[in-house]
Amino acid sequence: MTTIEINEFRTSLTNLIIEAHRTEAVSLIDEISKETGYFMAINQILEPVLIRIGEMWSKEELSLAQGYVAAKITEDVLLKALQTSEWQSKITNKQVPVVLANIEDDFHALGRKMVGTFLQASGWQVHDLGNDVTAIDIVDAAVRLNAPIIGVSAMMYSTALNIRKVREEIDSRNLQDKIKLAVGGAIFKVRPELTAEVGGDGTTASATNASELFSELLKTIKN
Amino acid sequence: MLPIERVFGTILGKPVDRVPFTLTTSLYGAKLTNCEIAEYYCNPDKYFRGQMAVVSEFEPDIIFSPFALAKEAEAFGSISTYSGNNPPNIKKPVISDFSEISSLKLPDIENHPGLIYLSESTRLLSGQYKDQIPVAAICTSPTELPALIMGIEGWLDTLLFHPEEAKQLMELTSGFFVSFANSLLAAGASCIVTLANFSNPTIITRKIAEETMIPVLEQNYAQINGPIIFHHGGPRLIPFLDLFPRLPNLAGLVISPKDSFEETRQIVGKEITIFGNLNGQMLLKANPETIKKWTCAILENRKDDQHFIFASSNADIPYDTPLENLKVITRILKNSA
Repeated sequence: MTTIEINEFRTSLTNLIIEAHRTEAVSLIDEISKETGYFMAINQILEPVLIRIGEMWSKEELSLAQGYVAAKITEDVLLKALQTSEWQSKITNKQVPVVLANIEDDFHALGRKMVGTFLQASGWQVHDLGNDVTAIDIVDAAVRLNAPIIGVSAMMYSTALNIRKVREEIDSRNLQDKIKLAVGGAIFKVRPELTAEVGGDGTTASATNASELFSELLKTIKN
Repeated sequence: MLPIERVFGTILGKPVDRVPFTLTTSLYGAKLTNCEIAEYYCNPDKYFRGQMAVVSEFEPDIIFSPFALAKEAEAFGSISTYSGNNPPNIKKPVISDFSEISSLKLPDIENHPGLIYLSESTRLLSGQYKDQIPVAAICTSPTELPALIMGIEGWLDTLLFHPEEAKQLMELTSGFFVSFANSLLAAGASCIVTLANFSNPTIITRKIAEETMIPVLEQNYAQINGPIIFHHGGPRLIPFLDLFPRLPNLAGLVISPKDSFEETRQIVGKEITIFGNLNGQMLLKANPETIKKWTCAILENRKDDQHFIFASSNADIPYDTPLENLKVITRILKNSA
């Protein structure tokens, strides 16, 4: 593919996501992958588009609905890619494990699921623990899976405060150099200062940019 | 002047003695009466006592029925959690997928305990204050209720990818909304407040708002026997604001702290009353001096606006907000001739 073709595909895919044309968007990636394989199609086309969508979403130029469409398209494409031997050989064995959960008392799964989808598309090995998970269970899972990053989500201020318990759990086990805590959810957009308040190591305003955040946090891990 | 004369005078654009004000202190009544949260949101008498304490402490020009949207979803079968010092919140929506919509039934508004709680709280407040202070009853609109019945993800997915089922669900919630809102008015509410906690620019696209949500609201609002106040629900309203003036029975808009008064006025015209836009969530951590500055800045901005009611925006003022942080506002407002 030439640079011009790549840019044209990216523009088309961005427009299809913004207009919520899920089937057409997946078909476009399918078409590209016939020529390049899914690994390249995701790497060269889908991922850069997701980063662009994430930037627009962070600036409130796009809505959750458009972010959700992007997640569903990514899910559809990943499902197809996972069935190919090409994807298995290039991705599976190189993945870094990460743990995701909604904190204790929080039941708003959408953001967490979207983050999981986008992380998987970027090659992370996602272990999703679900809703209403205690700090002890989250940190236990990270230790068991040897996951250097934990992503914890909360929708409301009151439940977000429970994330402090994850910070305390990490610190009390002296794991602060080995495990980094990413936090997110609607309330962190409204109150950015909350990340520091609950002891988070980082946050991002959109699910599509989670991989970038996790990559940054991974660089700060001390072995 | 009585609060009711002040508020309806402002809505009608008549001269009033001072700027009317209200604070979203539905939850704060529990703090003032030291009432346990689950009891406060299940026992109408406890809620009533909480709001009596609110009136005694702040003397607002509008009081609220319970700001507890989860109670309406409970009537459809969703399960709520009553934890911390917060209003009830949905723990498990009754359905999660569009294929289950046909299993839903219209709740019995006269016999469901959650709905009786909301109606009875409204009736008690109205019985005590109706001739003096307007009682604003919160009622979840048919476009928002599905998010509490099937979760945000389920509703978003249905709206985006299953339009026929979305229509089917909104027909059900429309039937509920019209009956329940009118029953709250019959119980003595002076107006209905609906929120855009889902149908706002951060969650849906303008196309969905314009083609799907507004026509449903238009049809539903026309069947309500009283004035309706449209609350921003959290995020800013400006990107969708031009869609609202055509809604029947619309008496006012509660705008977000991120929305500008000037822009709002320019879009909606001179007649619709604007409520806002002190950030209720920020009152928890700010100091009284800062709150005083915010309050005065809003009053200065709206000094020539005859259709303005000072109000805290966003959801309920947090439970742990220091009393003095609210008293500083009420002192300024009461002297704002």
